[in-house]
Amino acid sequence: MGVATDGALALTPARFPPWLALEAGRQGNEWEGWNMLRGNAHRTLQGTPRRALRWLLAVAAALLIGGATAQATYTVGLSLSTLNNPFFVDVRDGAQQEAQLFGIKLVVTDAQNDLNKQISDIEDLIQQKVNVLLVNATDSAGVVPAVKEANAAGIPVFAIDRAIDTSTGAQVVAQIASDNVYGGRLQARRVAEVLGSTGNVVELEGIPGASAAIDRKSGFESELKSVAPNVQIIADQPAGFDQAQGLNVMQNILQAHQGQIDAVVAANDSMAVGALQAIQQAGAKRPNGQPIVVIGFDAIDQSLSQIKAGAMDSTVAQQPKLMGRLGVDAAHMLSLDSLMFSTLASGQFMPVAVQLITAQNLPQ
Amino acid sequence: MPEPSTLSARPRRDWGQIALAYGIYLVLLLFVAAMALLSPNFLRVTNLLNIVTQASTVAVIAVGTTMVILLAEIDLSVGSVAALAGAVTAGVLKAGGGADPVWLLLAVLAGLAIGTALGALNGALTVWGGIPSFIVTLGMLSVGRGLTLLYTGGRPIFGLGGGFSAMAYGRVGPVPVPIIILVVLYTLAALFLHTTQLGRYIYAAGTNRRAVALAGVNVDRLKVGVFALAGTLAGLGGVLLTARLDSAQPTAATGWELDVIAAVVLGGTSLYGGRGAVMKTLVGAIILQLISNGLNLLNVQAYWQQITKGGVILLALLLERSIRRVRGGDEM
Amino acid sequence: MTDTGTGTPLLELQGIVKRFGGVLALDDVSLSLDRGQVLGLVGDNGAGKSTLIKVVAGAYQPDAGTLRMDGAGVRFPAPRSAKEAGIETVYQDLALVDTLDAAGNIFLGRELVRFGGGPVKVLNKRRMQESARELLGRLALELPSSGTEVGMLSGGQRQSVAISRALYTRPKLVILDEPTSALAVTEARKVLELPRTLAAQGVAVIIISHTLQDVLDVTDRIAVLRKGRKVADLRTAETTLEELVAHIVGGGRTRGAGYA
Repeated sequence: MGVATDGALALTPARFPPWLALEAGRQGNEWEGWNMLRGNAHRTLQGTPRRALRWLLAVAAALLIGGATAQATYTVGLSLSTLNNPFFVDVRDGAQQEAQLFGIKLVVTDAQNDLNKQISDIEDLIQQKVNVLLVNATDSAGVVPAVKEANAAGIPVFAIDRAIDTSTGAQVVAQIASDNVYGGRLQARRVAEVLGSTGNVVELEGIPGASAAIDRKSGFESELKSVAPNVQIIADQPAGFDQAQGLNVMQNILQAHQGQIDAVVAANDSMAVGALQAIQQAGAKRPNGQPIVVIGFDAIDQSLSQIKAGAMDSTVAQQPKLMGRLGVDAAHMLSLDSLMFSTLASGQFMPVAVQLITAQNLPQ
Repeated sequence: MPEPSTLSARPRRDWGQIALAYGIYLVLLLFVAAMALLSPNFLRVTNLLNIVTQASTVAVIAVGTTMVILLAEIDLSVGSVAALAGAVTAGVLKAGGGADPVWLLLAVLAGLAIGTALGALNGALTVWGGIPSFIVTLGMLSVGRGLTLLYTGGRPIFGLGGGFSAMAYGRVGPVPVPIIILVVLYTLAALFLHTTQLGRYIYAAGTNRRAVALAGVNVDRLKVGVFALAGTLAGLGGVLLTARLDSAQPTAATGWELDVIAAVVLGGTSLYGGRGAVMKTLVGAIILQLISNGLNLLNVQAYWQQITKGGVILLALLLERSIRRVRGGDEM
Repeated sequence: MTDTGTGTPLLELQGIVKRFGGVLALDDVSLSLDRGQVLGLVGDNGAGKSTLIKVVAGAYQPDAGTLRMDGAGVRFPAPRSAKEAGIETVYQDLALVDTLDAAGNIFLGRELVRFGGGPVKVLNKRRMQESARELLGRLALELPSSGTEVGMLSGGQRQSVAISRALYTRPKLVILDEPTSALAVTEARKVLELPRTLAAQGVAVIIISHTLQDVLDVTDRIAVLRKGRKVADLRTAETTLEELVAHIVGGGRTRGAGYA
């Protein structure tokens, strides 16, 4: 915890926790906000969502204040839906690293995907008088009674990854989850980068009406308009986040647009892998004879191996460790200055950056 | 008709029979004609082969579901059972290293065996447990999916080796293997249902279970057998899907029970049992796929697709029923 | 005993008891029947008539009591075993499969097979059609067009199919459960000739009916059930409608109570 607890107030890159520098150091795939923290605000302010900016300011403030006052031991409770899934193991690891950094006591519970166990987990954490609760709900509505108990005990609650239903009176300070809109933008920028200024793109949407499908689509389409206004979306079809549908739909689209397609952008990797199969089976190529560029989302093993093999171009990865870290950061800030924080983030969505994965930066 | 003696009150009955028998084919033709007009790419041979190949997995499963529905029962678990069978096949292939044809056969048999076992369990719980099949198979829908997630650890199993995906992408001459599987399977099923004793019992027991039992047929065993066969075919569908995707997805075939039942009903099989023809189920499955294909070719917007798909299914049913009524009097 | 002659009766029931949960449906019923004899079985609704014939037909298992055929003890664990012993039943609702044609119903459960075995026995549809037509002709019953589903036939035609179905195996005993209840008068007349035709060929017949006049017209003997007990066993020639009614509703003389 040396970095943040030695009382220094100067805001220099060297004072940031190492992960901040790491995430910000990658070329072409960073979330602009982190650059701002490194002093590059003039370059990346444009296009940054305001809520993300405010959230970053809050982190910065927390780092400053945290440096001076972290001697008191705060306890943060982290109730996870399951540790059987590597994603949530990473969330836990990130949270633990961050807690160690700030000298915060972190108590982690694993509900094993059992709502009843999660409710008693949360009740235990309330009994232990944790200062803040981070809840990764097994069930968005089912967890509400436990959240209300925490509210009654005056313990602030953050939702991690999965939303908590606030329509029935549960109070949640903020929902911390991956920034799907931003992920869609990264896809659009990759299209512009690979195709240049013109070309034809096929867009595969997820389940119509699902929030991830809507966010990824809107991020992609709005960004594509601004970074590559002459690139056409010649087909835009739903494929249910499903590989089999991705395959079928792409087969059909290939029939309708033979020899015209330059790139396929899918709202998740299962559909992207399905589309890739359709392309390979049909032997379809870009109008210029090059392989069709396939871009996915989620960075599942199946697509990473296709990227490694050179068959697929890229995908967008969520960052579960970062999610865990930001969860602890948020809890930390709240315990430091709840008034300031509540005006910043009350009930809001706090986006966690995602990153583009290509053959150049594949995780090992 | 050789003996018109006692039925002179129904002079238009023959036309009715023809309409009953061919209404769904007329609907299919209408759709094909409409699509051919709307999209210049529709009538391409590759597109038509694509449609049938795409329909093949659902159509394979629908053979078993047709028999279950003919017995006046229902099977909602086929999607989950297919997913589990596909996952087990992929798992065995992975364990065996893939390329060896013996392992390939073993993997496929393992998938079919799992399907058969779960199907037989569906039947046993329905018949001897005395629970309606709607409830039993609703439970199995959930159990099967849970087992699939458990078996796969919630992650796709991929990298199965080229030999296996030949089941989905291989060709005999110009004809894709899945289409050959479809033709063979549907021919066998139609022969079984229309020319054999057990086939006749399936229809008869779906109409009047008691009469068949009083005639000395062990209807309980027949039902368990049909549920088991439906499980085997769901398993086969799952294996084919896994070959097609060259991977087993933990969420594969989610919601397919509805596609399968839609295909069966479009094919004119009565949900009350005892009436229907398996060949028309194939036509139903192809019509469903044709709709999806058309929506993709015409690039219909996502929300409109859901409305259109449901609307077209209803329209097809309405059309088929009215063809029957106009040409066939008041049958059924 | 009311034997009409020839030594051992065809069918003998001794002390048959059948319970459904707490309800005693048959209480110590004994009955015997000879070849060529027509027995009427009458009683109010719920008196136990249907239960009794289902025991004889192998559809129900008695909780106590014995069955004998030709003097030898028998057990019918399933309808099939009763059929194999020569007992055929025509149920009140006819137990026909509406979506099959006449031949399909007549041969239900004993289809003629062209070839094959196990789960794949290929039907000989042509021979079944021919045999069905021949059988219906022999019984002088009206012949529905082959290939027509029996669900589309009239009540009398359906009855003909059901009876042909029962007679196909040349049974020793035919049970007719309410054979006229769903029929028009002229059709009913025709059906009522059947028990006598069969009896003349040496077949025993049990007929259940609510129409007491019909029972009086066609039977040799009449057994009356009330609340699961046999309360009378009468020679048709020696009884009257009034006497029958008295037995059925109770309070009358119980002349047959001592019969075995």
